[in-house]
Amino acid sequence: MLGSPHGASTWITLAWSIGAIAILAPLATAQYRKVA
Amino acid sequence: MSLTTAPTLTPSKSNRSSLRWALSDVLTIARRNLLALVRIPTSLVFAVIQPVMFVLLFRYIFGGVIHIPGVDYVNFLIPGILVQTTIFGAVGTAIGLAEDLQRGLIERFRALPMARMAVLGGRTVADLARNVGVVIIITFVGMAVGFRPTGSFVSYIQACLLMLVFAYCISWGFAFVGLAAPNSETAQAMTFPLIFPLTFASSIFVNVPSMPAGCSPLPSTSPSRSAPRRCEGSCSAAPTVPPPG
Repeated sequence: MLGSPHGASTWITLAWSIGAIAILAPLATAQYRKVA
Repeated sequence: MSLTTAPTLTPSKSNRSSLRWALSDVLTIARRNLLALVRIPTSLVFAVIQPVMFVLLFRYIFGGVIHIPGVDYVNFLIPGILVQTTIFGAVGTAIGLAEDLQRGLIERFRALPMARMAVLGGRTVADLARNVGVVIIITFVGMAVGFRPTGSFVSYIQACLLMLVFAYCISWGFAFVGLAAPNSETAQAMTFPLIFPLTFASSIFVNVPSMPAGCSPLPSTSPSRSAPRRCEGSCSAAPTVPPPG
């Protein structure tokens, strides 16, 4: 999959996903601790 | 009366068991959310009807005036609809958590001896499971309206998995929105400005170069522009669409 002509799109999506969860999961967890 | 000595756990065993306990809690909460979906099937039915309506709308009403060079529009559309549907599914995470918070359910969960991450983890895992079902249904609906992935089956599955991973990661952001909103109605309203650029102002329905300059606020490397194109790549043996942006 990663070596295909669309491998760049795959890497970009994976990089954004990892970046998103690295930022959003701690944010959501902190908000949960604050409200619960 | 006899005294028994409590078994002592080594730190590694203790960590392992607490991790297993946390995973078990996550799965329990996920099961609770999925059961709610099954017991109130109306929400599930409408979660499926909405993307089907988008498929029919863009395939038969707007599709005639949208031309994507080098590719059949339905093969361009369906991967985009799949990404849109999984992003819309993440809105359910925000609304569900806001509802749980409003009804005091999260406070009750908090009082239980369970892992703290279980509530959020369970909600996002349940929404991921729902997204898997919706992706399968939309794939079949797409095929019924002419969608024909000509790449390999394995490549298509990989592309769908990639979309699901992206949707799962995004759902944590919507979980934050749901917890920050005072009620479920506000949570729903708060999600729209977030999903709008990710869906309608991206390459989900049209090719971005056809838009006036600056109309898509997202960079060409954003996932809502790259994910559907990755999926589309699995739908055509030879990619002929110019890269968006």
